[in-house]
Amino acid sequence: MILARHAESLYWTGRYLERAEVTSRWLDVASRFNAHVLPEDGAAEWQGLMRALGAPLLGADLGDGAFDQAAVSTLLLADPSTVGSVSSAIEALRDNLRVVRDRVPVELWEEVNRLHFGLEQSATASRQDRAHHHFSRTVREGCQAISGVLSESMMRDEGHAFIVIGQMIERSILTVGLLRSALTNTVTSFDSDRVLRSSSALQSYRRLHGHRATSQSVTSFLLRTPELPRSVLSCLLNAERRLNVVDPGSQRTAQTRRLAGRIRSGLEFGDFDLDFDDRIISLLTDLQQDLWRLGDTLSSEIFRPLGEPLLHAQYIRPGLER
Amino acid sequence: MRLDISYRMNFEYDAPVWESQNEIRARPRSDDRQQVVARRLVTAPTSKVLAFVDYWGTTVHHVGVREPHMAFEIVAEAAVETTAPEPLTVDPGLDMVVDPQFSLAHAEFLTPSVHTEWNAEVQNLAMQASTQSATVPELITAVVQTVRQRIDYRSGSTEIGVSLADLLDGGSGVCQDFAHLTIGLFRSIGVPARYVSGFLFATDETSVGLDEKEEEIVRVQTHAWVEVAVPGHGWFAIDPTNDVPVAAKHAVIGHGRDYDDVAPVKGVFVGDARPVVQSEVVIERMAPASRSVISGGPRRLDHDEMERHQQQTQQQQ
Amino acid sequence: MSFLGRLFDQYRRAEGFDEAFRSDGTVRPHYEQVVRSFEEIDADELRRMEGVVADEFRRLGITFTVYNDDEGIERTWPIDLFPRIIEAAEWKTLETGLKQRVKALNFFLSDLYVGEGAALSDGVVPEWVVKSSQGFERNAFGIQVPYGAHCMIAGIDLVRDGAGKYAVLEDNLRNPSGISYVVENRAAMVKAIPRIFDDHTVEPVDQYGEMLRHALEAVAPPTANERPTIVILTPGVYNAAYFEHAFLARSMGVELVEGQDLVVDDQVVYARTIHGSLPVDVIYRRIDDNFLDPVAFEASSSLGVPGLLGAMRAGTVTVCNALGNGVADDKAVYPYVPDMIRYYLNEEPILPNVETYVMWDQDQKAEALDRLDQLVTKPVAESGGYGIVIGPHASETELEGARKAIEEDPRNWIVQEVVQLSSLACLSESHLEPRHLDLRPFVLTGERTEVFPGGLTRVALERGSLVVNSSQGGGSKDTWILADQTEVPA
Repeated sequence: MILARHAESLYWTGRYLERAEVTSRWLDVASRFNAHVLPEDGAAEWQGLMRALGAPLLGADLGDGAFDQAAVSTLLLADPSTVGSVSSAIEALRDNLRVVRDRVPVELWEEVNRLHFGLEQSATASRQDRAHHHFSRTVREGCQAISGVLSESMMRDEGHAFIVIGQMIERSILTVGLLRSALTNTVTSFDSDRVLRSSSALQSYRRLHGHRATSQSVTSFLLRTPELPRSVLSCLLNAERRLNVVDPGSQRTAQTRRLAGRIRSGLEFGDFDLDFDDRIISLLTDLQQDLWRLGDTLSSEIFRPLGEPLLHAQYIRPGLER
Repeated sequence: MRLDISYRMNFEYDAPVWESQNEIRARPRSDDRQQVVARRLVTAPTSKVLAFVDYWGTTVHHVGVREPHMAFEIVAEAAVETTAPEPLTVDPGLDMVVDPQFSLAHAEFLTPSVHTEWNAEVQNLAMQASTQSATVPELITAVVQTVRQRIDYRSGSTEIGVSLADLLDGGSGVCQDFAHLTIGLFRSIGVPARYVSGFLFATDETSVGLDEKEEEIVRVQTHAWVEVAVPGHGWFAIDPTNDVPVAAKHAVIGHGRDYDDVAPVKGVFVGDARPVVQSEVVIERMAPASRSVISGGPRRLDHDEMERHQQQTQQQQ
Repeated sequence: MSFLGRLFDQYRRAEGFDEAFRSDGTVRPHYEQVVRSFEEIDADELRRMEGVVADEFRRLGITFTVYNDDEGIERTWPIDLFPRIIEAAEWKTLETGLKQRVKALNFFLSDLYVGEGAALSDGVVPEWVVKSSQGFERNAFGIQVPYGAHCMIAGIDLVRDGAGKYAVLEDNLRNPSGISYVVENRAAMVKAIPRIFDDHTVEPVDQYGEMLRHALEAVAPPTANERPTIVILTPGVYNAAYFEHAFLARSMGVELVEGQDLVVDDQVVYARTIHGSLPVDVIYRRIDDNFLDPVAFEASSSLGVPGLLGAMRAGTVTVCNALGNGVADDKAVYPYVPDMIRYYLNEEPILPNVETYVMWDQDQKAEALDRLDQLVTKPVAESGGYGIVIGPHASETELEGARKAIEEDPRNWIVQEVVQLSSLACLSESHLEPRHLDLRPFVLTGERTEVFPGGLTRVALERGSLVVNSSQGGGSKDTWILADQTEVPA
């Protein structure tokens, strides 16, 4: 038996775990690349990244022109109150895991706590470039250790499946967001290296396609390469497999499965190369919205089929007139 | 007196609600002065009904509807034979009612409860009433008079949860406010008093003057009154809303420390909706002829009769 | 003993009974090995080991929450590494006494809520004391409990006087917490200083989950199948004892649910799972009575399960501990427990109460008020050590305040003789020093009543202090019950 609420927390554990790992990698890549651009261009770069992270509020903080790369990356890394920051993702990860701590391996909770306390220490250390580097390394090592426990010590049961579903959906959303942000970048042209590095896919790409990279080939690679575990297509296939674990008869996740299947076949069989430049942004926008909807559908089908439980009292008062 | 009582409680919601769970206290009790001879409780949507007797001796029905619904109706019907309570034949002095042994024996009816929490003003009023009285019966009269001087009956003038202080400020209330204020006055000077929920055969809460003649039907609401512990007698019932002796026209559902212990409906539901409550009590006083039928033994309300009751109640909408 | 002169160098016995040392300074036999082991450790090493344990506890989130001005502070569970040891024979007596007491308390609760109330009509406990108790729960009337196990899990707080004689200080019959720390303390000790267990046969504690599960299965309603569905009901992650709730769920292999995870339909409780509704047979709840069901209690509470009491009445679910146990661990009812034992079991109490004066008795009140500076004044409605005035340590103003409070509301106060708690060596700075302590064993009642072989030893933070509550900053010790060697074949 697995409670719907626990399934939801496990799912979000997966999502936040993925978010923390991916965004810390992005920030690492960004600070390496942005070190070489002009400050005003740097500001736009960071803003693009923040949009991809879903941290739009930060834009306002950068408005006064005095752009400070270190300050921004501190906010995005170590400030738990910043929406979309790595810290906030780890806090949310820990909150969700706390709910299900009795049903995950003790080592998992231990690793998450280790990361949490490790970051507390990093955050109080001096906030310089090196500190950032140290911070994001702590995060990535922590996340890898957590993923290690997940794959080594956790039973391949329904609980595990929900964590993976969360990871896969989050990874897809972030990858599509990264591509959108890179393709709509007004400051610099599409930077294949950077996009591939941000997705940990540079080596795989070169092995498959050599050094020639265009916005079109990189986009297609990250979206629909079945051999690449991080591609959106692979993520969806993986998520569908896990849905089969939690609901073999497909009685309770019919809509989610239909939607996942539709998105996946769109990627598999859709013709992205046709009119790439004209259509790709709207395709990515639609894809991102479909992926968001996939999460919502899962939630309304099995996590919270009745919505928020709003409890009201009812009573009858004696002596009132009809 | 044979009273056939149909109590219909109807909740309508402006959006679907679900997982409704309720305790219903709407069945007259059977005791020395009244006997329930027929009974039924139904709900729509239907619900599995669990009946039990609570700490206070009141019959409670536990009902619930899990599936989404837009309305919930509970109909509680009972035929009850009532007699008037014993009149007071003792005349104990005030010292007897505040005797420590007597107080300890009635401890739970002496402390403030949610709805009977008194302030200095309430206590002062009670003390004035007690200085005018030498005996418990005199005190009862004085307290009821004080309550009736301070608040008038006005339908719908208060909400549940009104404090005694606000009642005195507002100057009006309904039967349960009369009951709570009376209880507060009594308890504030150490006289045990409890809350009674029930049905009153009268055209409305304040007119009890119906003659005992032919069959008669009234449409009212549940009523509330008070019982005071009188040394040498036991619990003695008074009706401060009407200032009349509690009689065969009063059919008791149950008693407790205040409204909360005998609320007709205590329930919750889930959903983003507000309930609109409509409730009605239809009491039919049966002619002496029909009484003879019952005296042979408990008579179940038959189907036709039930239907007629339901039609009657539905016509009131 | 050439090593003496390190950790025990400055050890001076405290007032009262020392668990390990006789008054002539010699070591009690059952502590000899451990004292010798500690003599071989120096303070730095011990401190380092304590650090290792503390880190481990922190990483595992073995914490509790202290509330100060409504602000919750999460603290790592404090443990002192010098163990508390109880001999087999001594434990046997405690075990018998604890069983006796809990049985009588369960008889009382049954009598009160589903029986005739014989103890009240026979004057064993004054009816008004019961009915004015905050823990007296009218909603519990008529709810049958399998085997009369109203208190399925009890935590009984024991103290030892100057002569080492045990007495019951307090019964905890509602939601006693601490068992998880008993198990985690042992695990930490085994990791930190495994060698001190050498040459001892200590009763294991890691079987608690199994034992609890067994007891919970025993009280499942007849509607349950062979393997009843058990859940633990927690108020949620922000509760002070959430760690323990999760610990229990894991060690029993059952689900940890919140109120919102359960739903009642036709007087049956179901869990909302990803596969739909699953009937629940036994709920080990760790939320207070008046949050259990918003229908019967406060309608605004969202911690509980609407309609739960209906299901309990219908007998389709067993809720542990049962409703209304607070009346039996009310400090105003405590003075009558020895009489309950005589009344229900026709036995003399094996474990006495601490001598107690009830303030609603004129003679006892007069006697207590006369020497309040030598006595302990306790409010009956508080727990966790709050509101207590310890006469010998109190200022004149505090004593005057206590006197006034007693006169104003005698029902709300009891006064007890000071028990000079026993003490045991604890690491302080670089030496071992005596600290006062108590013992909370756990008693489980299913088909039978059993005592868990172990207990939570809580120690006072400062030398001389008699306050051992963890919410007041105290610590804890691993508690060893030595196995009965006579049963082991040679």
